[in-house]
Amino acid sequence: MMRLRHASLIHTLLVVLIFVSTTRAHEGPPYPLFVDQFVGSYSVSVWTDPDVGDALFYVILSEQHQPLPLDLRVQIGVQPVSGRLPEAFYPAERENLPKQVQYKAQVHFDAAEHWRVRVRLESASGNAETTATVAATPPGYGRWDLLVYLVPFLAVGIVWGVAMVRRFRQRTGDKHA
Amino acid sequence: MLQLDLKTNKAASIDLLRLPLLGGLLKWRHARTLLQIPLFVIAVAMILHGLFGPVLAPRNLATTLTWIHFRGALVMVLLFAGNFFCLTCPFMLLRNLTRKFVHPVRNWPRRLRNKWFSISLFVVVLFVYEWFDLWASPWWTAWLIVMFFAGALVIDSIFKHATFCKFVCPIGQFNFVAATVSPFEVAVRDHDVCTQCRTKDCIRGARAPEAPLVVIQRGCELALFQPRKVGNLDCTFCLDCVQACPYDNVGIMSRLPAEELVRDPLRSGVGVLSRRKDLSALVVVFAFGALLNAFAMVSPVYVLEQRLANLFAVTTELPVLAFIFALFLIAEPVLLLGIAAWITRSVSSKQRSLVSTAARYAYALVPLGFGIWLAHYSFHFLTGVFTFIPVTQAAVAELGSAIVGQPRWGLTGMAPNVVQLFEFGFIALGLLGSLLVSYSIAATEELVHPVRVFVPWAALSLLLAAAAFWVLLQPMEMRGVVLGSG
Repeated sequence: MMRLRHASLIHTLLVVLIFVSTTRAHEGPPYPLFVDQFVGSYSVSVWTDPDVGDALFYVILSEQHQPLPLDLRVQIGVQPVSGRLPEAFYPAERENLPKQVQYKAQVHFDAAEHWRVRVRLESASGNAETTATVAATPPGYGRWDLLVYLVPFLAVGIVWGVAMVRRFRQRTGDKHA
Repeated sequence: MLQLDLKTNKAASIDLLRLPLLGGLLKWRHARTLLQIPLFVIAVAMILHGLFGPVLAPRNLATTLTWIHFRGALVMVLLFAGNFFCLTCPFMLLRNLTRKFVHPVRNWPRRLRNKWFSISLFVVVLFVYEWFDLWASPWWTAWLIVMFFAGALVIDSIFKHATFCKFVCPIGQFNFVAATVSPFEVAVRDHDVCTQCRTKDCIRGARAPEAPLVVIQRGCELALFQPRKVGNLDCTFCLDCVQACPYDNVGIMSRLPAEELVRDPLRSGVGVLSRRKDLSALVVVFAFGALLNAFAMVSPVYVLEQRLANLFAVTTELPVLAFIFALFLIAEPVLLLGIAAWITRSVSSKQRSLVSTAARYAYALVPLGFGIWLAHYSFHFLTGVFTFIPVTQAAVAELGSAIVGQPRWGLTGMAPNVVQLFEFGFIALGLLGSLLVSYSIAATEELVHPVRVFVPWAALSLLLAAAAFWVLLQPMEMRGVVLGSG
C-alpha cells in the first residue's frame, strides 16, 4: 500500500502544482500589440512584456517592396493615457537574429495603468510611426509566492526520498543486516 | 529478491488498464490506431504548413507545435505517466499500414543491435537543431518530420520487428531513458500466471488454433518477454503484449520512479545494465545533452560562439558548433565521469575498470538529466501553451475560411517568472533523484564504504545541477514562442 499512497500523493501534488498557477493574474510572456501592420513602407509587428518597472518591446520588421534601410532607427515612446506624465522616448536596439529583423527596447512604466505606445521608424528615406495602447501589469511574485510555488516540489521530493529509502532498505535489508 | 519485488508489485500497484473508461479504451484492440490517427493528421498539417505556410516560426504550425507543444507535452506525459508518446506515435501508423502489404524478412544487422547508431542520430538531431536553427525554420522542421516518417517506413519495410523503434529512432531512445523516471510501466500482474503459461504469446504472438504458424496478434516486437521484463527501457507502450496475453495478465502498473535504475538484474531484451556500455553512453548523452540544449537557448552561448569564432579565425558556425558539441558531449563527460570513476575505484573494494565503474554509475544521472529536459521544455510549453490557438486560426484563415475566427495573438501562456520556479523545482527534484539513485547504487555495490563511493557521484550531480541552475538564471531566448530569436 505504501507504493499506492506515494504514487497517488505524488500525482495529486504535481497536478495541483500545475493548475494552481492558472488562478493567478495573467502576466505571460511577450504578446503582440499588433501583427503585420503596415506603417509607411514597412510591415511591423510589435510584441511586448509590459511589466511595471522595466517593460520590454520587440519590434519585428519586414520590408514590403524594398530592403530595410541600413540607417533605420526605431524608437518607442510611452505616455500614460491619462496624460499625467510627458511622453518619454526610448531607443530600440537592433538584434541580429537569423531570418528576422528585430529591435528591442526597454522602457519604464511607473504604474499599472494604460499607456499609449508610439512606435517611430526613422531613416534618411523617410519616417513613419504608429500608436497603440497597452496595460502595464504588476511585475510578479515575491518571496512568499516563491515559497508557495516551491512547497509542492519540496513535498514531492520528501515523499519520493522516503519511498526510495524504504524500498532500498526493504530490498537490501538482508544484505546489510 | 525478484520474487519479493514482484509480490510487492502485485499487492500495491495501480493498474491503468483496470481503471474505468481509460482502461477499457487502452485495452481496445484498435486503441492505438485510434490514438495515432489524430496525431497523424496533425503531423500532416504541420508538414504542409511548414513547407507552404508562413516563414515566421511563431506563426507556423510546424515550428509552434513541434518545438513548443510536442516537446513539452512529451516530457509532461513522461513525468506523470510513461512512454505514451511511443504508443500514439504517428510514424508507426504509416508503418503499420505498410506492414499489411510488405512483409520484411531481414534481420537488423547483428553489429548494429545496440544503441550506438541511435546515439549518433540523437546527437545529429541535437546538432542539426542548433545548426539549422530548426526552432526558427518551419521549412526544415517540416523536412525533419518527413524524414522521421520516411525513416520509419524504409527501415521497417526492410527489417523485421520494431527495428526503427529499438535501434534507430532518436525520439524513442529519449523516451526510453526518460521513462525510467516515469511512475508507470507495462508489467505482469501476477507472475504465478506466467509460470503456468506454456504459449508465451506475449513474446511469440497469439496464433490461430487451426493454423499455429499464423500470427493473429503479434507479440512484443522489441524482444521484451514480459515475465523477465524490468522497467521501461526499450518499451514503447504499444500494448501488443496486453493484446496477445491469453490470460489478461499484463497491465500498466504504477511503480516507484527511478527505482529501476538502481537494480541491475538480467532484463529481457536489454541485458544487464552495467554491461551495456552503449546504454550507459546513451544515458550520458541524455544528461549532458540536456545541459547543452538548455545552454544553447540562453544569451551567453552567442558570446561563447563569437569568442570561439575569433579564436579559430572562422566565419562559419559549423566548426564552432562542432567544437561546442565535442566539448559538452565528449570532453566534459569523459573528464567528469572519469574523475568520479577514478575516485570510486580508489576507495572501492571492488576491482573494476574505469569504464565499467563509470558505466554502472552513469545511470544515476538520468533523473537530473530528465529534470533539466523537463525544465527546458516546460518553459517553452507553459509560457506558450495557448499559442497553438492563434496559429491554427491563422492557418485556417490562410485557407480562406473564417470558421475558427480571427487569430487571437494575445493568447500565450503562463508568466515566465512563474514557470522559472517550476524549472527550479524540476531540476531540484532531478538532483534529489540522482542523489538517491547514486547512493542506492553505491550502497548496493559497496557493503563496507558506500558513502565514500557515493561522494564523487554526488559531487558530479551537484556540479551538473549547479550548471543547470546557472543556465536558468541567464537571459532566456523566447525561441518559437513569440519572437523566435537565437
